[in-house]
Amino acid sequence: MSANALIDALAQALRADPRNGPLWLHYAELLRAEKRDAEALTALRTAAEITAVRDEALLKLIPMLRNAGQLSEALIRAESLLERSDSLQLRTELEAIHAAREGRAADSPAAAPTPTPQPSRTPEPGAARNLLSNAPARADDADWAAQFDWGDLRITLADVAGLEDVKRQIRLRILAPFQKPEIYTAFGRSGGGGLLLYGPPGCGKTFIARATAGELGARFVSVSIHDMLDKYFGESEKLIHGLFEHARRKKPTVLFFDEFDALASPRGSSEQQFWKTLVDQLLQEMDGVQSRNKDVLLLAATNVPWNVDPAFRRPGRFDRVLFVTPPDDAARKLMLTKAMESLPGGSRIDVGPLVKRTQMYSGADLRALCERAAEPALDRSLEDGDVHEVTAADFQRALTQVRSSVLEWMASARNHARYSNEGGQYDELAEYLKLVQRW
Amino acid sequence: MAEPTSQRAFAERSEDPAENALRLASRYNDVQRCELAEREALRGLAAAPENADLQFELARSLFGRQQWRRADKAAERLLALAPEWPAALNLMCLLRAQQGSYGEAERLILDALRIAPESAALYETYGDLMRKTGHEAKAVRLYERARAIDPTDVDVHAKLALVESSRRRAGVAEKHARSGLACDPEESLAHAALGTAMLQRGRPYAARRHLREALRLEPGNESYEEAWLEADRYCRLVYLPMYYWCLLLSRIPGKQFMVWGIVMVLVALAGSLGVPPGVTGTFMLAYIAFCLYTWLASLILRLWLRLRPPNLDIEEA
Amino acid sequence: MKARTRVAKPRRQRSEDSGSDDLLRPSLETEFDVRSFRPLIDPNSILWACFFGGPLAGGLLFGANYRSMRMPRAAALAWAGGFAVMLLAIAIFFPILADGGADATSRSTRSGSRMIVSIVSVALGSLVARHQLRPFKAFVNADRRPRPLFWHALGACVIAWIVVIAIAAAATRLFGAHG
Repeated sequence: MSANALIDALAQALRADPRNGPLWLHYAELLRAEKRDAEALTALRTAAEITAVRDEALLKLIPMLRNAGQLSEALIRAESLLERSDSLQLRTELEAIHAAREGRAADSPAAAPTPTPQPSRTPEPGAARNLLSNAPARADDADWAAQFDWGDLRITLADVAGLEDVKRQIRLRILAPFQKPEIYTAFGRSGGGGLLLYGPPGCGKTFIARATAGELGARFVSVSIHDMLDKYFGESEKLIHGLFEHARRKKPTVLFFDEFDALASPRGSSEQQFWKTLVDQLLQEMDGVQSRNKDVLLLAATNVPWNVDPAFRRPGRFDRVLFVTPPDDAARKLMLTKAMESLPGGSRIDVGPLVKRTQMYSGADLRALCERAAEPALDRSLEDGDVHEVTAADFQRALTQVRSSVLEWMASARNHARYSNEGGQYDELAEYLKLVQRW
Repeated sequence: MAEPTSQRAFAERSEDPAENALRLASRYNDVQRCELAEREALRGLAAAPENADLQFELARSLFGRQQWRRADKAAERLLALAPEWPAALNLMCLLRAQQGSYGEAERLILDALRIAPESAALYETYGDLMRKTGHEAKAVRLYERARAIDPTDVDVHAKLALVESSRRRAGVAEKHARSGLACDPEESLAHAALGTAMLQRGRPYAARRHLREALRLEPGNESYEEAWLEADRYCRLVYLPMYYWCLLLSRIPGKQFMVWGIVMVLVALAGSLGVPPGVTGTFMLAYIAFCLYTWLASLILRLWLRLRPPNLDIEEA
Repeated sequence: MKARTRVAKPRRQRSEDSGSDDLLRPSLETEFDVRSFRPLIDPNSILWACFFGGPLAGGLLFGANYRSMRMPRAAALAWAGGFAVMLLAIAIFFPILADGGADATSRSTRSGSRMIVSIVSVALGSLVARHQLRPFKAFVNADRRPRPLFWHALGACVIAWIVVIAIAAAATRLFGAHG
């Protein structure tokens, strides 16, 4: 049997048994031997998702990424592996990656001082800036790396507390086409496209977007209205085009638009020509996503999906819409436990009653609750110099002071789900509202 | 080598944080993300505390968030910075009218109109004020002036229709609402105005359709929801006679009291006119039965609505 | 509701002839401010009280509304007017109402006169209601909640009936004593 025939046979076997880790590793080896590096990388990325062979797959994937020049991903994956299992081979590999990155930075005339991979959680507001650069590929990658939010790819869906249904939908509808392209190709489909996340504020839409990118191991570029307006007023078309062109060149890439409604409100309501032009350009680029931009995933988050121009909902654009619910009981329990662990005496407080009393609280509300509950203990500690513990009574008191910020959103969402649910666009929301009717 | 796009962009970019904040705040206000607009305006004001435009966006955002007291302070500060800016006077007028300080609101809008006598928006605000305070004839004239200045403003057409409806001139109201819809068929206020006019013209089914459409276009509007539910009630067979009866009463001076008076006079005259007592008795019984129906109609409807709740389906509605 | 607050610059473009434009003449009192109002009763609803309770009940409620609008003189006038109309009605219809005849004609005459009093009360009440309608609209449009009618109307009617009965009784005793 020829190597190609063997590869085809293995591909078929993997379609039947996609969770077979050793088979993915073998498949990747064969692809690599046939110099089909891009496919081998995809296969290794998939294998790295399977717990049984994850470390083995990563040990093969990281040098391949380094050799392919995908240093950022290599670095992040190496660091995450190092956290789990320290080995000399891995340390050597990490040094090699650092050396390669430094070499690039020195080569590039446009490069800023070598970026230190800080696990910052704050998105770089000027992230889009470097994407317009027409500099050669190597320098471009360094630019890209310089503006990259290093913390992102470490976040995966496993870090998202609760929201199991949302995660399942993302795995099925977003991740699978990237991770199992063969299956999707067999159905005449490809990865990419758009997903609009909506829900009450503070419920983790942005976090989920980042986790999706982390899960894919894809580049993540966060674009906000600040990027469009702060620096590029009057250059919107070029900026948007540059952004998408970059994403097309550097796929797989996740382009994430936060507060999407502010960027893409209905054109009729935009008073300035600037915004109309921007929305038109965005629509034009999105139309190209399916045909030209395989493996470019567009994610957007908004609190007010009804303020997004309906043109963005058409097929091929943000045709997939996901409602991000407020955290369920399990998620709240996890969030509260985590938050309380960091407070003195917090781990001794029974979370159960708090979980019951915080229905319809967002993640942000829960954080505020913990902060408010800690205040009296902090005051007591400051008064006498000893560290006082937070008590259940502090939490009970805080509960009367911190109210759910989700309810207000639900009140306005209810009418949209009831009166403006054309084509079932808010079906998920309507279902959820039925479940939480008493609120 | 061609100049990189990014560098061209940088060449034209604004480094002034106040200017950037102003653009953002203005945008956020335009798309009704007032909490974000407030944040940006405050950010800008930290850099340029005397910037009237930023102060305007701040007041506008607070107005949008219905934080009246803070909006009032911001608008006062804005007027201190730009006492003769019509937009500032207009905003302050809106605030005062919202609070119920109508006399001051009128003074402010008149000041603004003296400065910018050709502003359709100012005439519209003044028309709103007059409508709110029951000066409907003047409101019509003000809206007509606004329409003459800017014939494409759908809101003015719709408001003309609404004010004519409240003056019980349903035919004229319908004409205005239809001309508004001709300007923009997707304008919720124009649909609501047409629905209101239809209710007055005795066409509850058409009214329900238009009010449902208004609600589809602006689901968050409570007054549309209320009006639609009301139109839906009128469309129920158990309540339809009551609707037409109310419509008739609204056109009779003295309303039900007049009807009662007429019935009493008729009954009193019946004896002297030689009407057989049987006829008078039957008439009285029928009248009393009808009165009973009018008193119980709401209760019957409420029971009926429990069995057949309003249909949310746009097509069927 | 979306507030239309944008007005194009330039900031100064003062019109010379705007003073001659009657549209730009103020229609409201400078101090017209519903913030100072106490909750009002819908003036159109007060007509029910006029019908069932007569002019005094209507006068009481209209007067209370004027007081809530901070118009004490108008309130006093409404109360005095209601009382005066009631006295007039008693003066006119007292002989009929005092007639204790039990035949059909007497009964229908009595009910007819009661009806006339009610209709006159409603007619006069409509005039006052018209006067109160604008401030009431302004009050409601400032997102203020009107006062519910039922208990106030019932109270006013009960007071009016007691007063009428007391006056009628006094009159009967007085005129009865003098033959």
